[in-house]
Amino acid sequence: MDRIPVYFEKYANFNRIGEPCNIALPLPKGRLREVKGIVIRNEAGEAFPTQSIVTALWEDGSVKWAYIDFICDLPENKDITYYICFDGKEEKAEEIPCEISDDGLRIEAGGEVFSFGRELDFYLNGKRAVVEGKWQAVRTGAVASVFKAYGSHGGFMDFEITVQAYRGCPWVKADYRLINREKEDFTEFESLCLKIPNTGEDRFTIGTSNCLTKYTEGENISKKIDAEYLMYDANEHFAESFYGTFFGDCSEKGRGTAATVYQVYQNFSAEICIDNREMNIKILTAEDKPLKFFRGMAKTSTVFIHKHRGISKEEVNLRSLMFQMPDRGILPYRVYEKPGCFPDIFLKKEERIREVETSLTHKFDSRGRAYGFIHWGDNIDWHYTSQGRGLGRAVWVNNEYDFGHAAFVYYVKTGLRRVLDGMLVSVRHQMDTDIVHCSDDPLRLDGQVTHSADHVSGKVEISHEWVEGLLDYYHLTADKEALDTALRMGDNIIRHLEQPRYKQKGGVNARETGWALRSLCALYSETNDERWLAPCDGIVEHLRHGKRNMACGLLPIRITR
Amino acid sequence: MISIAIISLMRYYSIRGDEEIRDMIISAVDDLTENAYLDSGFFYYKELSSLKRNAGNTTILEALTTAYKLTGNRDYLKYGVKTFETAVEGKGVVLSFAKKTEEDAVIISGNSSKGVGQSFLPLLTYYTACVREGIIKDLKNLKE
Repeated sequence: MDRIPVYFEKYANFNRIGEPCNIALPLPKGRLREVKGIVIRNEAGEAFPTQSIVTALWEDGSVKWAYIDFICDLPENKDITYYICFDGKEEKAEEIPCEISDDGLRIEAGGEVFSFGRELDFYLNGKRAVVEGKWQAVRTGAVASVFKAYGSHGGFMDFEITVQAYRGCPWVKADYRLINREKEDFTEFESLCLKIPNTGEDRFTIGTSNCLTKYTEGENISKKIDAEYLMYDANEHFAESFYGTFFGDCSEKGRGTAATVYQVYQNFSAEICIDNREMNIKILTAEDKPLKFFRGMAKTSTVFIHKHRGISKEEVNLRSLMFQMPDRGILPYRVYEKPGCFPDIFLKKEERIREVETSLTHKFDSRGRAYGFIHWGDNIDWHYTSQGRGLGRAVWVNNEYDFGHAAFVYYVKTGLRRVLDGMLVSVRHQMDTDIVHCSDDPLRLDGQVTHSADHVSGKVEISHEWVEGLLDYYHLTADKEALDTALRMGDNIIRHLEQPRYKQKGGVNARETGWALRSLCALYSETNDERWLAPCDGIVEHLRHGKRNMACGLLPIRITR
Repeated sequence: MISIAIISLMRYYSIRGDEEIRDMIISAVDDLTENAYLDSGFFYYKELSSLKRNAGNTTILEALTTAYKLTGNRDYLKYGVKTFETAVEGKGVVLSFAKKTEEDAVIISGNSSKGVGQSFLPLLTYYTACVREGIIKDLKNLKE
């Protein structure tokens, strides 16, 4: 099989040596039976550490999507191309050392030790996070290892934590996900903190950045990002790719710990306070006006914890910036075209019409955004709002028509990084906020809420439940929660279709069942599981009936008895 | 909103391969081009006279492309030219990044992402098919 180029744009003005990267690779049916031979090589053919998993199979059992973690070197002020090759020999590379015990998780990475006990350093409204059960290894290997644990804050508000470590890198990425399964309609959040005990007294630093990073230093320091800060901070980045960074760092005698909150401006309000007792990373600070977190909502916050030795605050800043905007490899469009996973959207450069391409990209770029702990990844539909659909409140789009999937399809055509970043941010929001993770009503549970005030005040309807963006997200990130969320939404659609309303021929219009048919077909294509096709057969039978009777089904709306 | 049923049926057809489904798709598109296509070059929104306005919904473009793919008849594509032209006109490049607060959010001005979600697959599939068929060469020279 030919090698496949992975292109890295010119990006940073410093060398990144041993940088962890990843790529999702679609493959034609029948081409590859297993992924162990996949290896990343440079132009000279030198192999780099590579670790691959399968995220989707074709119906013949061959690999449809592979997710590849790899370590590579990226030069300053220059682009570079690496190659996905298929001639790797199975070598016994040493896995990232880790230990799971009843007491917690211990990882060794980049010469540092990261320990997570049963009591974590996260606090919600002052209540400490406690792991229930043991940590689990999601995947382990020589390049990347991922671990997960579940718990609550002393019986209050469930959480999931996912920790990822990389070969040779003295940092870990922690995704901390709150899930509201409380009984009340909503819970008020005042604060979500990560408190890192402070043993250092040499140097305390907080870094904030827009175009350039500013440092706040001293013995007792703090910095807050709130609405007022954002309103008066002119920033022209596409914020789904980058806004700036925000980190706290404590160092003593050449050793230190830094914590960076990912996309902190976009997910405001946040604050970092450092004194000689602790570094308090307030991922959310809403003491003045508590934030309503509705039942069924989830929210993921990401923090990078970086242990370092003998480096300056400027070097800490560079790593923090890389956390915010990591290098991303780009595949040529032909790699997406060949396997037939996408519709025919691929034109050669000389065939493209400049005005059309420009118009589409502008359409994509000019969509609205919203900053806020609950809102980032979504935006307000001002037409719906002015139509009164929110009863005087702003109406959130809630991923209507599967923005995430549309964005991914546009990305595979264009290779524009900001398009991919926009997709990732949007689907993360959808997964967390727009899907009902807890409800006593089986017709709401795991369903996607329609565009509405507060994201959750709308109905769950099969005409507004989209899974394709979630499946794309799974292929792109290997985050199985995205796949599971899509499967659960499929089950929600089936529960709706089992209602008498949908059994009665002519009882619904083709718009509703048409969207359901699309989601169920996508789930079948993803899983090759026939159970998703049985309800499709039922929908199609209704459409057949509608065609025969000419009163409903495929025809546009008419007034009927 | 008939178009969504057509393009979903196409996905089902690609899995099941039932020729009756193929015929259903084609006859549904024929129904649209024969009965829902207006002199304005647009399709109507819905058939009831109270809803019978020009529709800008681009989902129709994916339905037309589907019929073209199934039959090889490029005439299907021609019905979408006006809808496509309207959807891609106005190729501004200036972004304002203007902000305001709304409830507990800071809002960056711009259009609803719904537009991208709804229109991009139809626009991309239709655009590609039209270029391949020579129906669209440039925006100033659209052929109907």
